[in-house]
Amino acid sequence: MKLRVAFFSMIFCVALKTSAQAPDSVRLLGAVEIKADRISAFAAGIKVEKVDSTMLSVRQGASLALLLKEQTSITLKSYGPAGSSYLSMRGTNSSQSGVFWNGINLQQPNMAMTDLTRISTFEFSDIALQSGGASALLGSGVIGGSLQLANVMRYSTPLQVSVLLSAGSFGNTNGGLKITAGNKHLAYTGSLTGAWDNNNFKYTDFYGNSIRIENSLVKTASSVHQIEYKLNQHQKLKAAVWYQVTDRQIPPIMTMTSSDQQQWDQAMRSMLQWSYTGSRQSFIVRSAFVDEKEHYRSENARIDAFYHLNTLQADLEYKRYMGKRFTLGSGTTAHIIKADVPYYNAIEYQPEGSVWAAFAYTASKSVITAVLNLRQDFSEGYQIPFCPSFSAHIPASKNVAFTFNTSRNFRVPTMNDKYWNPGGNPELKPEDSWNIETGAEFRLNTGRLLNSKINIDIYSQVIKNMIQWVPGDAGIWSPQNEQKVWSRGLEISSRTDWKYAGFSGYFRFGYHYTPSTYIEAAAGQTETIDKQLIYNPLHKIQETFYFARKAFYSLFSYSMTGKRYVQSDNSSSMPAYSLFDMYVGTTLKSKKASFRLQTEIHNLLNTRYQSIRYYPEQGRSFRVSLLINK
Amino acid sequence: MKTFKKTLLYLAMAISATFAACNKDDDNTVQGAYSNGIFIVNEGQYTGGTGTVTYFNPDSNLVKQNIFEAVNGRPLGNIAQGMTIFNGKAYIVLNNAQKVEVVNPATFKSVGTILGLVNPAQFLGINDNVGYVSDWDGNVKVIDLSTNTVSKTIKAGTGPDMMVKTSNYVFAANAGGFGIDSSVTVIDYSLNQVVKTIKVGDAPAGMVMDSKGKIWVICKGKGFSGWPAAGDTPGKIMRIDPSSLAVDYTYTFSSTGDHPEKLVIDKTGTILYFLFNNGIYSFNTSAASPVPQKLVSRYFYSLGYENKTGYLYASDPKNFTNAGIVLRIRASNGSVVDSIQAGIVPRGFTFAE
Repeated sequence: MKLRVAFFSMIFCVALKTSAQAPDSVRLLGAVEIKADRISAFAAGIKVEKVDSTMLSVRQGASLALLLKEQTSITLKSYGPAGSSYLSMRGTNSSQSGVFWNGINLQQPNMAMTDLTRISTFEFSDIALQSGGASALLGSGVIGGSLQLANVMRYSTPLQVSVLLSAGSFGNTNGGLKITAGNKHLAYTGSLTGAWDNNNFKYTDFYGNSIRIENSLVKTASSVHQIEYKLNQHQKLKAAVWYQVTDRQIPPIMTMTSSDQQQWDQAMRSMLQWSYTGSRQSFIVRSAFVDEKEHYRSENARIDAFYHLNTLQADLEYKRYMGKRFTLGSGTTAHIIKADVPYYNAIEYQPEGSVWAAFAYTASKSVITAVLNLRQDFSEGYQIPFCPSFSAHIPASKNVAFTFNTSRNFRVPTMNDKYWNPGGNPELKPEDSWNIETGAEFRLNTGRLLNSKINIDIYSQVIKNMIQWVPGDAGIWSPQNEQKVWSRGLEISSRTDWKYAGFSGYFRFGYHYTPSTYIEAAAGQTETIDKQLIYNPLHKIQETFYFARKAFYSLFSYSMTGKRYVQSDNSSSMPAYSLFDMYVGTTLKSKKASFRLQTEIHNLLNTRYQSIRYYPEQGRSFRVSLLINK
Repeated sequence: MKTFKKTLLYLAMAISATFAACNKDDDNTVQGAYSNGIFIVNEGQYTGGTGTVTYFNPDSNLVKQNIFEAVNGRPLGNIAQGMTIFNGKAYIVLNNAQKVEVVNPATFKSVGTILGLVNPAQFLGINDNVGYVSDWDGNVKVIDLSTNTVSKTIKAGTGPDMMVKTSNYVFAANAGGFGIDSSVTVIDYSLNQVVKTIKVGDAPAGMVMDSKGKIWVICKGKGFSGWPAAGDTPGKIMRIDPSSLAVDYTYTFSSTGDHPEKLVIDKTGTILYFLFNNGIYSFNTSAASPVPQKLVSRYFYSLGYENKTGYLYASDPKNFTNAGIVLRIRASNGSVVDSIQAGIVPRGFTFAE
């Protein structure tokens, strides 16, 4: 308890001190375009969906995992509320999607996954989901898609301070402080967030008894700072740093009686960037350093393992604008990864690099924007395929546009795949995929009353040399390139904004149909051929209904996750489940600040479900939050 | 609606309790659906899984999967190690689930659960009232079989696993559990006290008693099979004299790259069978200077021996994530009799005899 008080008083002290100095100005964060470097310049035709700013605002303080699970149609692999949660886009594995911040891929090099329960929505002003293979643009591991996190920098804005306090069922509390400030030369945004989640919910065990989960406390603290300085009209310096620490207890799964597992994670990511933007050309020089530590302990399992990973990264980027129609870009990246993992024979290093070029062309009257990306990566010990991509955005009329995208993509084996003792396989080939997709966007405008947008996308991707750990001749598990997977599907999303009789709001609908099956398998696993990949639902539906009147607003969301197989021969499965969430809030404005009070009910119908088998999820829960903007 | 469901549930419980009470007298003579068969204990998927028990009736060739959940309406728990039938009850050991499930072997109805264990490995019946459970927490737990509770803890080495009972002692092989050890703890079970710790080879993973009452221990040695690394030690077959409590014979394998494990002994109590170098090997203890002989060349995960037929039961776990199979193999010549579809990672074989 003492610790907990200390933990929050730390956040609040800083909050009070800063808000006392804040000037009399209130501004809510608005929607701004994602500026994730190349994504903005060379991604026409590639599917990028921004997480709606209303939704982001309502879901302030939640983890990215919760936001995406509730408010998008993508699939997450969630190991219970106190466990980790990973992206799984377009029927691919969690290691086949990227998470990017300031040009840094957050996927841990030892396992190529990023736990989204550790990242708070409060920390970023812009969150976007990029779907489909985009290795030609973003490099290794972007096969299913990627998540892009950004904070928009604003110059010449007065000091803005946001304070978030939130508490809910199961002893879960979180808080945050965010500061944005800028003058003519300087822009700064910084945040400090913390969550103390006891997660002491009850679930029904196999005897029908209501059991309170144990060993489930998760403490997270995180701080992101970004500062940009205009050296002159053309040149800017940018520095960003993100510190994250999580201390979690890992609760027992339903088939266990207790657990003493604990995991402590710490990540420090920092980057420094110089950019020159002229009227005809631009340069970016960037370096980044990532330091990640993980400590896993279980006395029962006699494990006390400490992992330490570092990545040093340098990027160069050049763009040339040739008239209004042509943009040429080229660049190079270099990484060196150092991994000190107790299950490797030694401290291992992995040097990597890439060269890329891109051409974007916009026809007159904007009848088409077409982009060609070319990229070759190098990674010691691997033959990486040359990855081109061609994408186009074709506005057919004011209200109809089409997109097309085809790309070759890859994923370099992880450090674990290469060095794990026993079993690591240095002879692996990178995973290799071809992705093709096309989409259409329709808009329907009936003046101020109703605005509708519908997006339909279909895609097909074949991933060969899929890496799978399989038992070898002597029973030693070892990764092999023996699987070939065909993932294809249909994605529909629509959003209708309306205004009527003083009410305004929107309705969002999303549906993903995601068949993803093995078309080749390791010898002795032929029973998996044509079978759906485990934990990838064929269907996911998501709906959001938001409306507001004056200072009041309300949001309902619904999601349905279809049946998921738990064995790769599809002989057993988990049933589909539906979840409802509800938010009601009001914003009170004074001259000095605005106060938003929000109440939330999650899992309204108290549905008992598991995302991953035997990892119980929470039943109905309540939460209240106060967001102060100054 | 909820209250109605609850009432129904209570009613059903009350009725079944009444029936159970009526049947109580002939508990030991009850012929259930699973009398007279072979039980294959499957570990289950490593994450998000549960152990299961496969029932196989060799007379009718009937195979039934996941019988514990089918009868009791709940999963067994992970990771299942093995099952021991003792005094008319079957004790199923669940390592990760930290418990032992007790069932009636004829009906497979749950009759109890032993908790208070950390990483239980094996169950051994001592007498009508006492059982031992080896626990990787470094102890042998004394179980009061009337209450199914831990009554005493006996300190052993690291990761005690296989246990063998003689007329005075229980020998517990300290296989290392999640770590490494190279000793056998000898317990006087009349006093529940350790009398000696015998030094053996690294990772004593298997132990059986022969026809002369001698204890044979198979030591894996340090390292992983098929994955040679610096510091590996060779496997050993060792014999302990139960009266002097000393090792009186050692066979050392020449290779340090492969490691023997999963020891069973035939019905005559003279021939050892074990897994080694992607195969099943035999070792004739009655020979003057025995050498291991390869009987079958194929990777197996686990091994059992049925006295009644003289068949070896060897499990092929396939990819460890889907159902595996069990081959029945004639111990006399290594020829395959047939194969049985089992659950995920078949590990333990229990023969109701």
